Amino acid sequence: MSENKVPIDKISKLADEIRLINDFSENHNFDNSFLTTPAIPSELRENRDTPLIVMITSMFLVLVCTALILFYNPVLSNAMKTFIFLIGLFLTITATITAHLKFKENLITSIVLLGLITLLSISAGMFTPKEALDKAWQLAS
Amino acid sequence: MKRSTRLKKYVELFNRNIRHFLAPGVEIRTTIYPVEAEGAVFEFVFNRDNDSSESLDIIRPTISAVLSEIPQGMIEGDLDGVKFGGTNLYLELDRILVIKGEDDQEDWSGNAIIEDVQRIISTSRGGKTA
Repeated sequence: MSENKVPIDKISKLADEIRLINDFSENHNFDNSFLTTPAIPSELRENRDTPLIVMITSMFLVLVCTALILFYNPVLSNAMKTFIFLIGLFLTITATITAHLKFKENLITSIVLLGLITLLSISAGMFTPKEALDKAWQLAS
Repeated sequence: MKRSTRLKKYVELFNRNIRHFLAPGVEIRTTIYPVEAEGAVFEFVFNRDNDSSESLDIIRPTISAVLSEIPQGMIEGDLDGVKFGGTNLYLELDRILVIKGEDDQEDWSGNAIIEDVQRIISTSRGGKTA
């Protein structure tokens, strides 16, 4: 392998700016059997980010649950409200898990979890928005 | 670059993109070498042992310090004064070294990673650029 190496002294004779190696690529007997297919697949251009999509969808659906409980409060029976609240909780957990998968940051995961639970709690009448804000300030300080 | 979240994100997107080009049964073992200075080094080892593990090595001061400590046939001699810019690729036997020279956002974006993979595929077929 050492005969393939290029001594730095030798390279310096080839270029004045040898001390900067920029966008260089080289193949030293790479085993091509690890790779396959000649064409560049279309999926490469899509680069779909599933956790992000699931996270945003779940968060949106939590908002829908919140709106349903808030705006249809007199129409819905208690059982229906509880059911929608439980769906909201399930979606909150889904959004939290996907947020963690996406960002791998505990702070962001905590913000998503607390934010969505606060929304659901306000919609269910557990807190008033003012109480929720007070508790958030207490947590932050 | 020593932000493990960004380094791991690079590996995740790199693996997602190169997976389309892997022969059946091939997995990639990844080692991330973070550095205090700008840039980072990634080692992707191709294998058929179902090893798709990922590890984060210790933080070294510079890319040159990493390259002087890991096995590589790209460059020898005193690496102290050598600086790396852009994305440098070194393909050897069963592994690929990706040497990111800078922390610029555009060098680490999703599009940059797609470009890196395309360059690897091109280089693996005999392309050579400097």
